[in-house]
Amino acid sequence: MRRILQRLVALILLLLPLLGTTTVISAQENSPGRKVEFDKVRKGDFHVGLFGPLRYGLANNMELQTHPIFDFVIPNAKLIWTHKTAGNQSIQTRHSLVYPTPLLRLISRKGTGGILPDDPTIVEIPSMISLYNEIRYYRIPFPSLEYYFSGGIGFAGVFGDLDERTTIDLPVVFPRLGVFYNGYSLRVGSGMDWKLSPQWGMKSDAELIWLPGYSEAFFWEHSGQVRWQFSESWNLMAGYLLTFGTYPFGKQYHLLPLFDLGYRW
Amino acid sequence: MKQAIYSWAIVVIVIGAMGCEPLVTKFPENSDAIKYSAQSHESPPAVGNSLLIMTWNIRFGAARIPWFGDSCGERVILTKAEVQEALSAIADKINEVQPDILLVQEVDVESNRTGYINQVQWLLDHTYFNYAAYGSMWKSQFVPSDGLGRINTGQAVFSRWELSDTERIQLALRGDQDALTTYFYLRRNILKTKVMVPEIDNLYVLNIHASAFSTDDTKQQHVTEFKEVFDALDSGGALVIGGGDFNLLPPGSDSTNYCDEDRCQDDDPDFCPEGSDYTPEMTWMEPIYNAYSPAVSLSDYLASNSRYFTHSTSGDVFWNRKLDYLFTNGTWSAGTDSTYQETMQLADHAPVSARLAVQP
Repeated sequence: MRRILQRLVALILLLLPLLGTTTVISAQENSPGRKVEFDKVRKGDFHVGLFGPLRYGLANNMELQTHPIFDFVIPNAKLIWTHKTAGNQSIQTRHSLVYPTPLLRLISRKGTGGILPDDPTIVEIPSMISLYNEIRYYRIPFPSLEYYFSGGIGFAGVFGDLDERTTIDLPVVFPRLGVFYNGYSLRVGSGMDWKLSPQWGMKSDAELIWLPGYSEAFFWEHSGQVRWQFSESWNLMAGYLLTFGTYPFGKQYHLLPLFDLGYRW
Repeated sequence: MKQAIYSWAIVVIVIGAMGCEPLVTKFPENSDAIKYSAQSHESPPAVGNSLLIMTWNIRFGAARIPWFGDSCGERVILTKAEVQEALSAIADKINEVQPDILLVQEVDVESNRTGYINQVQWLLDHTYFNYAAYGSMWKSQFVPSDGLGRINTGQAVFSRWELSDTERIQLALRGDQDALTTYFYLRRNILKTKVMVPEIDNLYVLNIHASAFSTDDTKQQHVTEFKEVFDALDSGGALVIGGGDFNLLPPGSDSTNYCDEDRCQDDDPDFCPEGSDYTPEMTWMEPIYNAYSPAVSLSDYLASNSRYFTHSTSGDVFWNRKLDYLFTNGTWSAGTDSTYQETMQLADHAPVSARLAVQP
C-alpha cells in the first residue's frame, strides 16, 4: 500500500509542470499556424546567458550547448537533436558529456572556498567522465503551448578510486555527481512551455532522478520560470527551483531562486 | 492563467514552508532544546544519598585523530568506522563509570566530518541512559571552507530520568571576527534542562561550552551569562548542577601560557595560537568559584594542578591544563571527585565526575 502511495506521489510530482495546462487549453484561441518558438535556436544563431550555457544552432533541428567559462575547469557539451517532426509532434534526443575532474580537484583545498576536503586519507579525485542520453516526446496541442515527456540514462566512467567522503551534499549538485559513485542513473521528466504573448512566456519542468542501488537513490526537481523577451536580442528569466531528495544526512527540500539574462545574435 | 500561477504558488509556498532551512541557522535568544529517547529504556535504580554527575567533552568522536581544526592535524572528514570505534570506547568508559547524569560537549548529530552519525542517539542506544537533550552550537547546511560541508554539533545532557523544561540559551557571539566569519561560525550556548528524578524536586542541569579561541572578552561574557542563569535558578530554589568545558583555567594556575605547547610544527617560533595564552583571563572563573561549590575544590587543585588536568591539544602530550568543571549550589559528597586521566586516547578532554549529595 505504501509503495503504491509512493508511486502515486511520484507521478503527481512528475506531472506537476502540467498543472496549469487545462487552464491554458481552455483559454486558447483556435489559431492554427502559430507555434511555440520562444526558446528555440535556429541554424547559425548564438544564445548565451549570464548563468545559462552558450547555445549554437548547428542546424534548425540541432543545437550545441556548453558553459564556456566553466569549460576551463569542467569541460562540458550537450547536443540537442530534433529527429522527426510530424504535425504537432516531435521526437528529440539530448546527449551530454561532462568531465568534472579538474573542478573537483580545484575545490579540494584547505581554507575558505574548500568545498571538498584536502585530507591525507582521501585520494585525489580520479579522472572521470559522464555521458547522459535522453529522449523527449514533444507535442504542441495549441499554437502557444508545448509539453513534453522525457526519459534518460546516464553512465559514468571513473578511472581510479573515488572516495565516498567526497560527495558534495547540496541540492542539484549531489544527484548529478551521484552517477560517478553509482555508475549509472535514470531520469524521467515532463514539462511545458507556454507562450503567453510575443514577449512573455512561462516554462515549467519536473524530473525524477534515480540512482538505483545507491544509498541515496531518489531526487525530484521542479522548476518554474517566467521569461520576458524585452528586445529582439535580450531576454530575462526569473523563477524557482524546488528540489527534494535523499542525501547522506537524510531527506530534505530546497527552494532556490532562478535568474538569468540572455542574449542572442 | 491565474489559476495556473496560483496553483504553482501554493505548491511552492506549502513545500517551501515545510522543508526549507536557511544556509546557517541563527538561533533566537531562547529556544527549545531537542529531546531524544533511547530505543529501549532501562529502569533507573532507586536514588540513594547521592547522584553521580559527569562532564565530558568527547571531541565529536574523533578520539585523538589529528583533526585540522584543533590539533595541528590535516584530517578533515573521518570515516564512519573511525567515528564508531571512538564512540564505542567512549560508551565503554561511560558504562564503566555509570554516571547518573552526563554533560557532553562537542557531540555531532548531523555532520559530514563524522559520517552523519547522530552521536546523541548512538550514545543513548549504546549506554544505559534513557533520555537526552541537545542544543546545537554550530548548525550549517554547508560550510564552504576546508571541505567541512554540512555540520551540526553542540552539547547534550544524558540522563536515566526523563528531562523537561529543556532550553537552549544563546551566548554572546565572538566579537573578534569579521561579519562573514561570524555568520558561518559557532554560536555558543547554555543547554538548560530539568531532570525528573522522582525523589528530588527541582533538579536542573546547565551545560556550557564556552568560546575556545576568542582573544577578546567573549569568554568572560559567557561566564557572566552562565552565572546569571545559574543565579536565577538558585534564587528560585532549584538544586542546580552547572558544568562543562569553560575553556578557562582555574584562578591561581601555575602555568597560564600554552603558546609553546600548542604551536604547530610549521608555525613561526614567535606565533601564539588563538586561545593559548590564558594570562589575561585568569580571574574570569572567580565569580563562579566564589558563588558555587566546585567538584574539585580550588585548594585541592592549587595543591597539585597536574592531578586535575583535563585537556591537551595533542594525543602525544599528556594532559597539561584544566578546562572542564562541575559546580553546584548543593553539596558534593566529600572526596568523590574523579578526573579520568586514563582516557588520554579517547578524546582531547578527560571526563570529570563527582557525587552530588541528595536527600530523597
